[in-house]
Amino acid sequence: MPVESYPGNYPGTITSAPDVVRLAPASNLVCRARVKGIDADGDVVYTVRGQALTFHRKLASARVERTYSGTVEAGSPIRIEFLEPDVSAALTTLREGEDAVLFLIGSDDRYRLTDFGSSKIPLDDPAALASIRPVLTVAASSGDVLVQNVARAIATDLPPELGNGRRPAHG
Amino acid sequence: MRLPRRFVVAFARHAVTRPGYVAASAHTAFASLPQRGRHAPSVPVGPHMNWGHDFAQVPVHGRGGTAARTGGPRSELWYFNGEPGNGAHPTRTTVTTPATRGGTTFRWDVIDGARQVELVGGGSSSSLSTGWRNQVQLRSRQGSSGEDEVRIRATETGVDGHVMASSVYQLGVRTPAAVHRIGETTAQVLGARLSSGAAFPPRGFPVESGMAVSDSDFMLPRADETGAERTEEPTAAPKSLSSLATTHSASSSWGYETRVTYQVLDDKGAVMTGYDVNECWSTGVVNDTRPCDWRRGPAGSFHVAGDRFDDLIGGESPGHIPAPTAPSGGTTRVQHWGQQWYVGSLTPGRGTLVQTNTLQKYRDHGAHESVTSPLGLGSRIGTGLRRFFGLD
Repeated sequence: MPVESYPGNYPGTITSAPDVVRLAPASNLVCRARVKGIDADGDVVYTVRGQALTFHRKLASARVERTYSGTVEAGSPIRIEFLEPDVSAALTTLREGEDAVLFLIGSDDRYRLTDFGSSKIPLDDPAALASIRPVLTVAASSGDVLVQNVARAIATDLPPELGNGRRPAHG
Repeated sequence: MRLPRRFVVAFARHAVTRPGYVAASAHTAFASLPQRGRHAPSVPVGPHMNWGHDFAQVPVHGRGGTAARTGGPRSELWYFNGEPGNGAHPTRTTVTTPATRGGTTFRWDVIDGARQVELVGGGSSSSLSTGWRNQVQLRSRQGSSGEDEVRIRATETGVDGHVMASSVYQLGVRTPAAVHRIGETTAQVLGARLSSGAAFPPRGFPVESGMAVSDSDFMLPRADETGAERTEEPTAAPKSLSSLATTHSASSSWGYETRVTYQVLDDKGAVMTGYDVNECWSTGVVNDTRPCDWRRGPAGSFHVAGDRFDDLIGGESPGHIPAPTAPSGGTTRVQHWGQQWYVGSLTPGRGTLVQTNTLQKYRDHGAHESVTSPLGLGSRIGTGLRRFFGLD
């Protein structure tokens, strides 16, 4: 059986903020979710530039906290497929307890990351959040209303010192 | 010589200092080139400026009632070593010059910068007649060196063969010239049992007192943090930038994960946004210790929607030799190889080369060492970028 090519662009060890302008229209669910657990779901082999690579398929159980785009209601449980590389690489992975904005494709309660290389804004990882603000700024001024709305909604969920420009109330 | 009734001419700001142009004609009006953004000279943008075209057009009344127009680039032209660029960084652009009346024809000449641009659609890359069409397409051939040295002349000729108008447009060809490092973080991908977002400084990895991890997010590097030749000799720890926060922890998957953050600068020293970046392995793997069975994955690429990207250097998965460890200030080298960074393409090894370095893996952290960026210091970068890197 021939080995399929890696789906999408292989990022290697490079990572940056997800491209909201590209991902929002390509996803049918953009939401903030809390990861409840991770299960193994077998291995898969893809070729990357001629080299066969093994990836561990994982299935995260998560609860939708807020929906930016899509029809899944807050509080709903979903399952999210992602790939864990066998050799060190910067693919988007999920971990138990994580609170993140996710760009997803799927139906019913089964989804996968829209782009295995970059589909997550980890709300509890300041280092990763460092690059998201300029991306949201660009997306918020997009000509696509969906992209605009998603970007502006996500910005309100960022920690105040990072993205939404709001200062926490005192007193 | 019969002078045209209406002689429209435009000059780049520096062109007025050229004797040949100053003496061109008593009917020639001179004006400074209005630009904006980072190309902006000290000339204010006039009220008649129209940025709705590819090149600005400003009517100016000169001596003797003649009219003049100055042109300045609105959109930018980029060069990525032959790669096609993208919407944010086009490698082609269209120049439009106004037509004074119907029935006239247009000729275009690259009068300066023929190495940087070519005219598309004709037998000659530097001269082209476009007939009644008052537009021409430019394609980049080479990046500028921090200057706007390309000048294009558009000449409009009437049906009787006389020159009706002539305009000169000026632009530069932007190109990525360097990357600069924002910070280096040895980060832990926490296991599920640890609280999310937690980070702690182990011995040998000082974090400035009172500085939270998030403090580093929007800091701009100080001049002394942008040196082109920075090595990461870990005498006690990976180099810790004094004004940037550093988080230190371990990875449950790889032992450790080191995050090196970069921005890309163009030939004028401006930070780029919305670009493709790729890495390329320039050598094979060289093991520094034996036995060693650490693996190297394929090189990757990424479309950076914002202005910065990270290189995540991980150790190895459990079971490999030597066993990776959590960051502890160690100096045990495991393996290294040559790494190159290109901008302008998602294909490894294609685009504009902006940095070379050695990717060094230690048992407890990773590093970019022997960094060279920008490349070709003497010739490829402009004054602004040399100043940025403290080379002037």
